[in-house]
Amino acid sequence: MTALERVERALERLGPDPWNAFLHVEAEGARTRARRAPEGPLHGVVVSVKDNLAVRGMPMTCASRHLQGYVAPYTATVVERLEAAGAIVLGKTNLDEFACGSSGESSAFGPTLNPRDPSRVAGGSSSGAGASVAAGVVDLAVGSDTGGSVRAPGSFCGVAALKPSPGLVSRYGLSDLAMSLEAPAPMARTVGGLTRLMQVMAGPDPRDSLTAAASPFVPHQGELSLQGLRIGVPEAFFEGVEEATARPVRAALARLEAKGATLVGVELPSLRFALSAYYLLNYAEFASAMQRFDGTRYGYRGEGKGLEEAQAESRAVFGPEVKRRILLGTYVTSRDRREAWYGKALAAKQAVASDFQRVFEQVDVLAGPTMPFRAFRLGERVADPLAMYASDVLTVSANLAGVPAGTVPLRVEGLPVGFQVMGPRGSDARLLALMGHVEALSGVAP
Amino acid sequence: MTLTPEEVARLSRLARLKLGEAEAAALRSDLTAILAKFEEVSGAAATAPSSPESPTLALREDVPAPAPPEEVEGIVAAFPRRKDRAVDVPRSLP
Repeated sequence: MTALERVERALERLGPDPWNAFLHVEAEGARTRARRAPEGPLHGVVVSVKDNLAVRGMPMTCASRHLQGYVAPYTATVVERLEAAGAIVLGKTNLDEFACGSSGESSAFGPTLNPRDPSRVAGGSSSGAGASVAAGVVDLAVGSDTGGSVRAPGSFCGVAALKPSPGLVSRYGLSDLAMSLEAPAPMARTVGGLTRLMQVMAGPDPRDSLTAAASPFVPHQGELSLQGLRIGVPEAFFEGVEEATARPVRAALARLEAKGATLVGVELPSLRFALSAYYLLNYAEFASAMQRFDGTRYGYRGEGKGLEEAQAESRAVFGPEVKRRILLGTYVTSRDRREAWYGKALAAKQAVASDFQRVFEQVDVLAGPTMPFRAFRLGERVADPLAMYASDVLTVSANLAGVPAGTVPLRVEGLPVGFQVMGPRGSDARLLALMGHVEALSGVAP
Repeated sequence: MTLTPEEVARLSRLARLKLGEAEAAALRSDLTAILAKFEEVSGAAATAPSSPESPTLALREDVPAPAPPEEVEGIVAAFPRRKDRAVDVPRSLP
């Protein structure tokens, strides 16, 4: 199949986009790029890009009314690398507004519907990325993960996803939610697809100093032996998890054990603080990052007497979750409250990182469910922010600890269930190799 | 803990967010519930190892205020093209 034929197939499968997966489709542009796509490891592969990553000449809204009509003047490093490797960007995918959400429902342009069951959420914040892969429109997608934003849609839509180690993938061109916790992240139908994407996306970038020490991503050589592999299973990963999710995850663990892996019960006491610490840090960093969206240089410019009033009017178009986080971030970083809230959250983050470091001296990886439940119905949690935040309870610890984490869809009847693995920082290739075993033993992909 | 309407109004001024009356009331309720839940993080300090990251920054009062005139003069002076106290930048809005 030629590159152009692949683009036509993707457009045909997308049709009128019944899932609201895309905010912008560049049909003619994709055809043009397909005719000129360079030879490379991703030659002719059609990809989608989350709309919080810049692609020169394409709209970049971050799913916010504030940025409606804004066109990116430059291209994110990860997208530059994909295009240089021959991939063709079909368009920009839907997300929670400024990536603030766990379900894909806070987009100013409407929620993303789950292709497995359109009455249910796709998971967020990379909702459109997950849906674009699950619907078979694209093989590969680029999202971003701050506290589970590719793993949640991966689990809910039945797609594989990886949150890479910090510093492995450049953040240049990513509109930040909480820069200390996040990175662009791959999603794919198969673990093999994730590996292909990582080979292209990862590596040092002078425009993101965190990647200075990064090496090019090299896949695990040969087959990873399960014989003697120590898999840590914290019982806390199963607390409050619905039975329909826990059962297939425990069955997948048993299959790994039958192939020679050793399951080890481990304790991570700091997990009880993880969700609170994650959100407090998220609020603080987000409120700071959002100061630039005041209508002065770009974005919606409101009417008002004087600069301050005009800025406040310009920011009035943000959605409720964005406003909530900006106000909370302002609260927890104000002078008199900073130590009591932001300082404590930093201490909790350090405790989580220390716990993970200690546990990875005892085991090679950690495993459990990705999400505590399967995709919920649209609107079910949107009015209760704490219920929404609780969705992230199993994913945020990897971002706080600064370790890689991936999800693999399991073979189940009905709604998809994700199996999550976490490894020490820098063990991304090994983690993907293990995810390949899970996929072969218990997964949906060939 | 319960946030007062005055505290929410002050936060919105600091954050440069214009809120309607009903919106501010709803947000006050949400913020109070969220902070009550996340107070549990205070227990983490006892278990956390000492960290060189511990913040000890000195911060000014959280009061919106215009920039000092000398700071404005310094910024204007640094621009390659300027006219009086105005600077010339490429057009970014239509």
